[in-house]
Amino acid sequence: MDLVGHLPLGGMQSPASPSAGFEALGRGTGHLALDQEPGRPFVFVAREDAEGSEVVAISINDPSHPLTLGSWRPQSHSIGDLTLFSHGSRHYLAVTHADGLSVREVSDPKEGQFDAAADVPREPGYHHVFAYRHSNGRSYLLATGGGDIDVYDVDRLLSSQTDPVASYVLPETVTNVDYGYHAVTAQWHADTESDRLYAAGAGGYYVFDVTDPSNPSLLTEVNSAAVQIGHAVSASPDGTHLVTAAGYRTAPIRIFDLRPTFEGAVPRIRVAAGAWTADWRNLSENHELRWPFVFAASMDDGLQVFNMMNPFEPYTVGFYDTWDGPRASLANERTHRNGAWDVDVRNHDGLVAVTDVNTGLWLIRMEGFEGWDGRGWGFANVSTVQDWDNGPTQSERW
Amino acid sequence: MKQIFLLVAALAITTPSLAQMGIEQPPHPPPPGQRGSANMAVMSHIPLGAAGTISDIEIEQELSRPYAYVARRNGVIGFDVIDLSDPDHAKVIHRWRIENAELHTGGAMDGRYFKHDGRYYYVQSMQLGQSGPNSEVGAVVFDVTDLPSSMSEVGRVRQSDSPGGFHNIFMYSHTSGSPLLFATSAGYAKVFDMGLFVDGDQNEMDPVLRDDNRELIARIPVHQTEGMWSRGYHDFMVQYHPETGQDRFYGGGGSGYYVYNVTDLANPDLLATMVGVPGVAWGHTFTPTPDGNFAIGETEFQYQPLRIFDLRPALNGELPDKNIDHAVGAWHADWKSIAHNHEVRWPYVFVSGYQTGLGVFNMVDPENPYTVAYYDTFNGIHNDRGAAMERMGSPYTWQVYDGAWGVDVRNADGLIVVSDMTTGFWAFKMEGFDRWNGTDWGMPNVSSAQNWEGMLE
Repeated sequence: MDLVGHLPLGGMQSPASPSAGFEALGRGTGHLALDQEPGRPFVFVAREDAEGSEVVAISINDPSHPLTLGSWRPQSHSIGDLTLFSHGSRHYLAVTHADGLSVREVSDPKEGQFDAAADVPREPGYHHVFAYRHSNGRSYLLATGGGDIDVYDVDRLLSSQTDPVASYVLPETVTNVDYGYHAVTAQWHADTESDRLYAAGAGGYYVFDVTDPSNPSLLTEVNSAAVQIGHAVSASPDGTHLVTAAGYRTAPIRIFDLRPTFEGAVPRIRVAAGAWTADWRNLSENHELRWPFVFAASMDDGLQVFNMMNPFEPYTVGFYDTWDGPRASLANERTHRNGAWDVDVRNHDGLVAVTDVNTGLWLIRMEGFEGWDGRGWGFANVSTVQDWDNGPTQSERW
Repeated sequence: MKQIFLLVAALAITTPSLAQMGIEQPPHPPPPGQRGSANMAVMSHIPLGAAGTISDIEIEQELSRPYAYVARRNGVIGFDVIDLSDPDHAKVIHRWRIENAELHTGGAMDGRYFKHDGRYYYVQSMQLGQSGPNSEVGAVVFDVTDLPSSMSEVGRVRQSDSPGGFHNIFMYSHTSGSPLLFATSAGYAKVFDMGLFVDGDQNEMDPVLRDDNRELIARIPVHQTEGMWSRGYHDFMVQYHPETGQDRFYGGGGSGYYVYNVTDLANPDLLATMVGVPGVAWGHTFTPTPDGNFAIGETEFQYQPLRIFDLRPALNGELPDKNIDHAVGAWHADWKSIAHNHEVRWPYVFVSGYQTGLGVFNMVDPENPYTVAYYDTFNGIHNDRGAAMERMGSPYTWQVYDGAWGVDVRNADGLIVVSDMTTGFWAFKMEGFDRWNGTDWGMPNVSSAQNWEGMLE
């Protein structure tokens, strides 16, 4: 692992926050979104300070010297997730927060542009958002905040029509868990030529066919003991395996093989094929899958990368400790939000961006990983990165 | 001694690096010669039979009665009596098997002994298949006073209205003076007065009035919440709480862990719950520290550590709902495996860790428990996918339920015994652990070992 650049983004988190913890350490950095286009060397990072929350636009034109270009501060004091998308020739940033969802045009962040494009009020706010280029030619924002998955059509949204075009509810109520979905991704499934949605939430993890966005069809689910609420989920490029996080300390990243359900052998998956952890005392908050590698923002353990080529026995291939301060304590919840929080991978050159709650933005390269294209590994070229111009249907062709 | 303890405790709490002071069990398979830590000596090992036929273990506490009992199941239903008069050369002296073995399925699970009116009894819990005879039998009781020469069956505890047997049992010397059997049954911990049981019929009307429930004197409920994983208990322990003078029940099951005051058995009083804990959908085994301030919880799922809970916020009235929703510490021998049963001899916790074998950790600082000794009693394949394919037709099953099932500790001399599902009976000594008495550590002298004379210290 080579450290390319580091930009401390410090600032104290609001003292009123239950996750304030080691106040003096400056813990304000949250989610990030890394622009994937070769001509757009930008990364957007959520941060929090005593004044509130903001999104910072950072130029990584020279990755060894990341440079803050500007910022945007929503009224809400609590920013959640960020995601970038393109529409036509313009570029947008979707931001979740305690008041809902905001979309800002960031076509020219060099000029500090954060022009209002849409604001979706929603009580009690959204936590995660994922931008997906559907095979039907349209683009959608999938937003979650502990309830349903709300689906926003980007065209409509940018035309000030802020109602969701669909809302996906849990297939069935999970007793004793007053919660819905926590996070969601979507990915083209080349084998069946369908759009699939992967959701984490109450009861575990769910896979839907959303080729017709207005009629989601549940394909399978994963209900693993000891996962009351699924936290994060990614699918392998061929859709056969899920990589999942459970969101609590001591929980490893679990890898599930979905094939027995697709083949009709079992109605649902309950047991992981394999699991990985950097340190069983900790957890991984977010991850990015670029098969066979999984890049994990592993809190106290910093950036970790493991290889899941053999899902039964995933193994660590790289790491960089973005946080070398005090370790979190199970006993003190105020110390839990500690270390590497979010990660993103730029497919065209393999640059890895990590946000650490305490220490800010890190730019890292892994030896031998100079980009990712699924076709190079025998898959469709699908990941969290979207082809906004062409959509996913041609992702198997060079 | 108390001052020394306080110093040790203070150092533990104020020294962040203490967590690094522990040792680490090598990953499986251990290199030659590194199956156990240097401070753990094997005294005896007796292979008892086919893999999967061995369940729990119990050791008598009096040195003059050097006997351990190993429960058997899956085709050899019964128990083996081990003579430990020479711990370096332990030997099986009796093998009791249920009659008409070919008609029975299931097996013997947990075993506990007790003393009453100068005689010693062993209670063997049973879970026998409902397709065969004795499915209503929860336990078989033996008079073992005359070991090593002989033992005899006294009777069988039956629950005809809730067949399926008792998965786990615990014998407790209650402050009322009675030897009580707590047994998992039909959504409760059922409580049987074993004094009444072994005393038998006392007058001519007893045989007429006698039914399954003559000795059943109480039922400890599981605090009910919505969407429970199970409605009953898996396991429990009962322990005297000197500070309050209460008999306290610590149960695992339902959706987590539960603490009741069972001093008045007719009116069990809920003191604390641990439900909604991340990663804990169900409680398996739950064991308190001698002072009742902390408890160790196990949940029977792969990758789950043993968790240490601080019970004080609930017991002290700081939590209106009495519920503790997080652990303060956790311990693993190997994060890919799971622990099973455990015995607390504060500050040590002796763990029968399935595929990792015997593990011992120190919990002097509950937030940073660390391994102090281990011995890999199970040297088979870990998480055996091939076996899963053969058994279940799929590699996607937890092949982690093999190896060390039960553990017990003889307080008088620190002898440790382990029952391994595959490799049989083991006896160990841990360097520097030559006896356990809670008062030596500034704690009440209470553990799973009972004082059957009823004198509480």
